[in-house]
Amino acid sequence: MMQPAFQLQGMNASQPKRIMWLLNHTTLRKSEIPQLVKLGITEIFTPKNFPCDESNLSADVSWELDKTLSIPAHELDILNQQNWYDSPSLESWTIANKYFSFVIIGFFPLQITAASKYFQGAVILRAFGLGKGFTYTDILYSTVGVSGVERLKRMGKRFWFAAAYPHLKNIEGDFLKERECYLPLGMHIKRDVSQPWTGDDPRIFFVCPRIKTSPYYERVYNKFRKDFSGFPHVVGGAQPLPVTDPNVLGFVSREAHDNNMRRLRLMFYHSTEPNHIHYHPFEAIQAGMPLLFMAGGMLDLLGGKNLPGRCRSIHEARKKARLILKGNKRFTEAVRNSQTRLLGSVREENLGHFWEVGMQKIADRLKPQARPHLTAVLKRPRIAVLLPVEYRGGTLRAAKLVAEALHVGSRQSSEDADIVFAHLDNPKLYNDKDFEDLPQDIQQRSFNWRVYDTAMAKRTLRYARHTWTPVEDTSYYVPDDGIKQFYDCDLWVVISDRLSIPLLPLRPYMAVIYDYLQRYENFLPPGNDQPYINAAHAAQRVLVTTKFTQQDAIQYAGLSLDKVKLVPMLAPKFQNTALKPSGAPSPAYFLWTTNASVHKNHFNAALALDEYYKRLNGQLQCYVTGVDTHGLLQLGTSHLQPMAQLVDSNPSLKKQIHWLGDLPDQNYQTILQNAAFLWHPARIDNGTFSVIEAARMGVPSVSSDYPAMREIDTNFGLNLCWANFDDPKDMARQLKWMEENLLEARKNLPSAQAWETTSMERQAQTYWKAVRECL
Amino acid sequence: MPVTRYGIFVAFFPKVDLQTEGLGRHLGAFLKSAGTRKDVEFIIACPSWTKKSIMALCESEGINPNHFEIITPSSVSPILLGLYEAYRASQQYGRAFLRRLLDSSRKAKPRANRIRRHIAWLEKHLTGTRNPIVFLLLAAYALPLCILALPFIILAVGIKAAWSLRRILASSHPLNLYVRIRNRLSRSRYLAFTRRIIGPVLHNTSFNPKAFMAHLFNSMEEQEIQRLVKKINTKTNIQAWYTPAAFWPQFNDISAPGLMCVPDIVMTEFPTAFAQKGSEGLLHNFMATEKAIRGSKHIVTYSETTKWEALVDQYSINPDIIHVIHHAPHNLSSPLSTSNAVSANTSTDHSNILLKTALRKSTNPLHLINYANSNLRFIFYASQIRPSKNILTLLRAYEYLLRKRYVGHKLILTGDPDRTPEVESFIHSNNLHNDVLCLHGLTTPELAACYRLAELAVNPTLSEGGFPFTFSEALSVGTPVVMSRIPVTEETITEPQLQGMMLFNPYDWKNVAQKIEWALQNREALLQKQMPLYKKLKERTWDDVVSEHIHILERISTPERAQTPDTSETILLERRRAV
Repeated sequence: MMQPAFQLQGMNASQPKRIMWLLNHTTLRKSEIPQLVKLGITEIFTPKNFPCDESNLSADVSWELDKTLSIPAHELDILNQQNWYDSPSLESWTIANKYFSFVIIGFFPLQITAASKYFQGAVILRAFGLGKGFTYTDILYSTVGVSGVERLKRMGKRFWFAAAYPHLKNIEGDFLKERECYLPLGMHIKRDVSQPWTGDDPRIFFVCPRIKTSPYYERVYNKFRKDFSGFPHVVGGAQPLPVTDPNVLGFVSREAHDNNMRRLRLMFYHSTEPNHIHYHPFEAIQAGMPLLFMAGGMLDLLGGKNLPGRCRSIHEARKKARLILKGNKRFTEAVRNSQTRLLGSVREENLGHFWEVGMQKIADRLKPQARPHLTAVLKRPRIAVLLPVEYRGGTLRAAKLVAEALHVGSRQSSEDADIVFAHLDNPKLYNDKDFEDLPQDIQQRSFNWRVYDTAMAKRTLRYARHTWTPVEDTSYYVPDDGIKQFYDCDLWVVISDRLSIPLLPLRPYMAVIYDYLQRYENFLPPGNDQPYINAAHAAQRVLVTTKFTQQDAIQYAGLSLDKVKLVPMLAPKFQNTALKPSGAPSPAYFLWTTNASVHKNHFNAALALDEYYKRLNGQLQCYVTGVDTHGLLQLGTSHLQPMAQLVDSNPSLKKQIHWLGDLPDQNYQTILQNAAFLWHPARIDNGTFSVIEAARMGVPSVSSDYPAMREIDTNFGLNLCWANFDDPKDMARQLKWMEENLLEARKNLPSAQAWETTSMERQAQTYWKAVRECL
Repeated sequence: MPVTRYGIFVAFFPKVDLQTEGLGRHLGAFLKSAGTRKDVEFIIACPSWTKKSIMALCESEGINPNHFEIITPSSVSPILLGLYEAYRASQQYGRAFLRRLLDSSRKAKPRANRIRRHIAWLEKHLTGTRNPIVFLLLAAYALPLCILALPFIILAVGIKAAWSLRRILASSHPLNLYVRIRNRLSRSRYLAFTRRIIGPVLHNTSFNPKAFMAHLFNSMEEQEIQRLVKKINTKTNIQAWYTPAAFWPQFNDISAPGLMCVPDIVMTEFPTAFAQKGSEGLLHNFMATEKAIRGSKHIVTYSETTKWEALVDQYSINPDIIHVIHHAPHNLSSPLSTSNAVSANTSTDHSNILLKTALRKSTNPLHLINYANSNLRFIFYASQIRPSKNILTLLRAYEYLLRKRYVGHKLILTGDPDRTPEVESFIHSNNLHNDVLCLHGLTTPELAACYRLAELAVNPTLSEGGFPFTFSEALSVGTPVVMSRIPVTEETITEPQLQGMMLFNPYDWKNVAQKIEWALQNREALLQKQMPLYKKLKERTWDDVVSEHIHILERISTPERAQTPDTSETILLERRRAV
């Protein structure tokens, strides 16, 4: 065995040299594993699961190499259980990082993403060439996105574009060119001399798989049929869907395939692709079958320019095919004897030198450089929590909680991150007091949205060293903080999906989506929420706080399950809260928290109040608070008018309801603390913090019965009193019940210990883990 | 003593005034020091149009032009450039003519008004009179007036018609011949080449003459540089070449060893801001810079940060070919010295005079007309206004200090806010135009005076290629400094205590404000702490900088091992040979 000239990073010569070859292509494995073995790599892991899709038609599983591995059996089992083409578990990546310094992967976007995120050694991406007009660079941008490419770039010398042909890099973007490492594609060719080619079946062998499932191959097949109409032929290659052509063989056994190779008169290879070549022409040459191929393709580059089997036109191909089919031995032998030179350039024994040079290049670059320590306080990951619209109330509070959870969670995980909280630059809406409760370490910034046209968007990405092409005539949002437009932040966490145009993909972003109200309430014109849905799709990840919204995100918005992450709902700390003593005097009112939104169910609430006071002789007054509630009856919007009319026409009802408006936190808490209970009569949303806050103060709540509130009730153990939001009489009954059973309701509120388990500090790490995966 | 010859390559765009460019001043300092060396001789290679600017730079910097040779592709500039200069001159002349015309028309306006009023009077009486004698008299008076006015009326109608025709031609009217030709060209399958060349001009409905001129100039520049490189490659007695900027990828075509200076690649750090402000031309320059860097064989830069974080990490340049040569400090005390300024007081008086002249350059001159306070207290930031300079953060911090902390100092900036709408907008919307003074186009003595009289110099920059000159410029005239905590500052300010005193987080305006307030309150303590470092830095001079460059040029000009080009063809050939 050849002694390896290169030295794997972090290992001395006496240590085992291991590599993960995360592919399942059968013929490729036969060719590449021996190359690795020749380099002295003694332990090789190969995947035991692969997706049964069209990209793996030529794949299988080999357990043989497991014998070479000296890693503990239980850890090997874990590795073997993974689907390395999708999202292997973090545990498996930990094992991979423990034992392996290199992984070789294929051009599978999920595999690329996972390896670039979790593997700490060198990631070697195999590239075997694409069709004309396609580049790996463009496909990477369209699959893993700008942020995925950025992650690959950030890997620096740990990422390698291992091209199978040296010219592949020429059409690629700079970042792939810079990371190119030539590892040629070889063929494991063994000529079976005992069964030589006979050619006694006078038909053309044409290989064309996936005719009914790939538009490309369908075109190739149709062209072949047209070009060679009247010629006897068979079409090989696996067909996932049957083709109604008796000449199409579909999947055949190895024996049948070998038999075809031995008996069919000639093979025609159509491809003029300059960057990609199939395996079967080499297989034909190896079998001794004459190969006719079109000029201009990869075979020219591999030394086929002067071969008699080369055809410059279909006319020439037909002419040559006719000669061979008619049994012209002289020409047939000329083709057969000359074509073997093509095998030389792919024969694995001729390529060892290139593999050694290529792997050496990688190993050399992995050696540590004498780099000075450039200190800077700004090196920690920085995450911007962006409030994209002028939210106040619950959403503002929720956004601040997310920022705080990330701040706390990163510290709990010993991965201190700088959190930036950003809101729209509107001094009339936001003032310093709104952010007083944010921890001091969380930096606060204001910003304005800038709209970039296509040309500006393209220029931006080009300056950021990306060759991403924006969608024609599309405008993009850029959050402008007057500093660096948040480019200094590694990740943007957008609170909600309310982005009417796409966010310029300069940085990866996550969306925290609280609800899909528009699915249940008719307040958006048809199609108006499509940009929001698109925004969620463009996000790296979507965080939701209820299972209900999670289902909406999947069922309504169509997000993939692995994109949507359920995180616990965070409850504010509620400063200055003190439990109401059980013997406190009976309060004279209850509190209705609402705002002007459609889903707040105002009319039914008003009907319920009417019922409560008129029929049920309700004794408690109703205090209404929340954004815009001061003038709720005067707002005049269509969904508020029925309530306004009812209240205005009913003086006794009017007397019982007190419209307090949006109160400062301290005032609100005083009012809440002195209330009998809190009433939440809304129809549907992501639930409300107000019932949690009330419970923290010893105030029970009557709530509408809908999924998000049920989840809150379960998570926080609130023992809410439920009312049917569609039935004003039931709502009134529940109000009356609560009025009469106040003490019992108070007893059912959670204990101080129970609150501990649901505190933000307990949930913070879950948030941090969800976010750090996108870094 | 044997003399070694080295070349300096510059290929600035026509009309660039090297005296006002940072790179020009850097080149000046380099040449000044190089001129004192007996063992080396420098040859400057530049386009024909740059020679005049270099000579002017020599004159202003006191450099003896006989110490070096200048080579250009030709002694004559391209005809296009001559035509352009003539056009610009005619434009200037035209503007002057127009100005005169407008002046005269302004003078003529009262006269014209009198005539108009007279015509109105005539019209009113002619149409309203019922007296036949009065009518006849008025008509007899009006007729010759009409005859006299006729040529002017015809001229006016003619001008109007020509104007309308121009608009029709410029529109996409279907009868428009130009549009028909354009449409025909766009449909033709056989005129692809013509379309490619003419198309962008014809199809661009908002055809931009400036962009077209820039395109022509780029082409002219390209050819001039190619000729220059060709000429350089005939000069075999020049050991190695140096270029002070990474703007010119053609530098890599020089056959002798080359050392390219890459000061920074700031656009990669501020992509959104540069994309907003800049144009396709700026992007073209950026891409040329990238090409130059990627093709370079030896690079020199001003800081380890630029070396590692920009060149190695972002562009995968081999660190072994990147050399770091730090700046020498700028000393601004000499521009303030006068022949009789022997005492500190006299120097202060001199500075005050210079400050007054500087204040006249304010973008808000009205405020300063009657400003009689001779003891202006101010914070000073000398910088152009660019995205990386972080002016808005400084303004936010200043506004907070002024309005919430009642720090009464003014803030003096040296950039032109008119070129940065958001800065101008912030100053305007926060009513800061009387407190934030922007003094644009200061001379070096005026700059020195501002530094000297400032209570504190501040630099909130987010990115620099090297250690900011603010530190040495301020301390050379006895003013303390607070600066951004960014890698290039931490490269030089290494002592933790000093870092804590003078560095702030440039992304956090509150932190900037806190540091400024603290520094104003503890000015002397900060100064005492900073002076020893300044004295240490001062030991390094521009002679050292030049010597280090020469040392690298010496090293790279030793014969290098011939390298086989790593092209795909060679590899395939090798692969086939291996068969």
